[in-house]
Amino acid sequence: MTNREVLVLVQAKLLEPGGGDALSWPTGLWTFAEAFAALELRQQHFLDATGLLGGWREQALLPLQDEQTVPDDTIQAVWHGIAEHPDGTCTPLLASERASMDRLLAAWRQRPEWPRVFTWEETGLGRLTVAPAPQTGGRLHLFGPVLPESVDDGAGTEAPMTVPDEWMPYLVYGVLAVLLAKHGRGYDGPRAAYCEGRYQEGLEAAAALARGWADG
Amino acid sequence: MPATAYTLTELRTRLAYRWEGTPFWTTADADAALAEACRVWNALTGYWRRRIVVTAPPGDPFVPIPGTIVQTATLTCGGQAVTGPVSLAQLGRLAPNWRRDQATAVGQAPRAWARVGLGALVVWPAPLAAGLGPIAYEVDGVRQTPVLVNPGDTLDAEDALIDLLLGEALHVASFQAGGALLERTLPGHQRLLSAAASRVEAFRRTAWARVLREAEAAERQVPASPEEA
Repeated sequence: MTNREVLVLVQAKLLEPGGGDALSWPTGLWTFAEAFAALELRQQHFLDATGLLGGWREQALLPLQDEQTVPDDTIQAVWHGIAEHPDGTCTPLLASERASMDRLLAAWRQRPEWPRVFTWEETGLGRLTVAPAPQTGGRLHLFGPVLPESVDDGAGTEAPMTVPDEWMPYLVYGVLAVLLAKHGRGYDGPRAAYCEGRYQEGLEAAAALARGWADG
Repeated sequence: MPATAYTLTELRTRLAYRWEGTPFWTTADADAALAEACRVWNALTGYWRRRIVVTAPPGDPFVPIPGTIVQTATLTCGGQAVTGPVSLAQLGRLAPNWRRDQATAVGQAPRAWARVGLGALVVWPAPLAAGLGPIAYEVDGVRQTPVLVNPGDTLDAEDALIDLLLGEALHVASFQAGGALLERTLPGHQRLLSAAASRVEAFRRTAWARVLREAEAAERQVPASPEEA
C-alpha cells in the first residue's frame, strides 16, 4: 500500500469526504499535512517498537576499545550481534545491561579479549559498547530494526509504506488516534482512546512475533 | 472443520443479517470492513498460506523473501526439509559461525533456518552449487491477505472463521458511528482476539491476551443468584 491509500482508509473512518487521494480534507478539521505527518510518525514508531522489519549491518570492529561507533541511522535497538575475528571465527554477542555486564566481567576494561556481550545503555544513539574490548580488529555484525523510507515529503507525494499491508489496519488506528486527539472541533476523546488501544494491540502482537526471531 | 468459498456478495449479505433494519454502512464500508477483518486475522495468525520458490546465491546464508510471502513457515532445499524456524539466539548457540559456515559438499542441504525480519531468512550451513547458478529454496509461508473486490470474488475460510470475521467486520463498520454502537459490537472484536490467542503461542503472553482472559474469568465469576452475591 502507499501512504495515500492508507490515508484514504483513515478518511473513510472519519467520514471525511476526500477526493480519493488523501490530499483534500474538506471538513477543515484536519489538513493533509497533519495527516501525512501523523502517518510518518506512526510508521516509524511501529517499526521501531515492534522490530517487525529487521536488517543486518556489517562494520569494522575497532581494536582495544569497548565503545564502537555505529552509523547515525541505526535505530537504538540492536537485537543480535556477532563479533567476527580476523580468522573468520564468529562469536555471538549477548545483549546485556551495563550492570550485568560489570558483574559478569568485572575487569573487562583492563583485560582486552574478544567481545562476548554488548549494550546500548549509557552511550546512547550511535554508540554501542562491547565487552571485553577486542584485543584485535575484526568485523561487527548487527541485526536490528530497519528505518523506513519517509512517507511525508511535505507535498503529499505518493510513496510506498514499509509496514506490511497485513499490519496496516493497526497503523490506520494509530493515525486516527493522533487526529482524533487534536484539540479543536475534531476532538473525540473516547474514539481517540479506542484507536490508541487498537494501535497498542497491534504493536504488542507484532512485537511478540518479532521477538521470536531473535530470542530463544 | 467445514470450509466454504464465500463470495463477496454472500459476505455482504451475511454481514447485513447481523443488523436489524437498514444497515448503517454502505457497500463500500462493508467491503472495507471485511478487508480489515481479514487483514487483522492474517496478521495475527498467518492463516492464508502459499508455497513459492525463491533463490539465493550459493554460499550465502541470507535468503531474500518477496513481499508476497508475509511470513515463512517451512523451508525445503533440494527436496530436503530444513529444521526451523529457530531463533537467532538458538542458531548462535547451535552454530556460532553460521555467518560464514558453508556446506562441505555440493547438494548438502542446510540443517537449520531462522527468520530475520519479514523480508529474509538465514540458513545454516549455506549450501553450495555445482556451477555458478543460484540455490533454489521452496518456501511455504503466509501469503498476503486476499482482498475481495468484485462481487464474485471468493474467500476460502472455514465456517467458524467466517463467523469471527463477520463479528469483527461489524465492529469495524461501527467505528464511523462510534459511541454505544462501537461498544456494543466490541465483543465481536474480542472473540477474534481470543481465537487468535488460542492459535498462536506468542500472543498468549501479550497484555491484551491477559486482559481478555481476565474479562472471561470475571464473566464466569458473575454470581448466579442474588444470594451468592
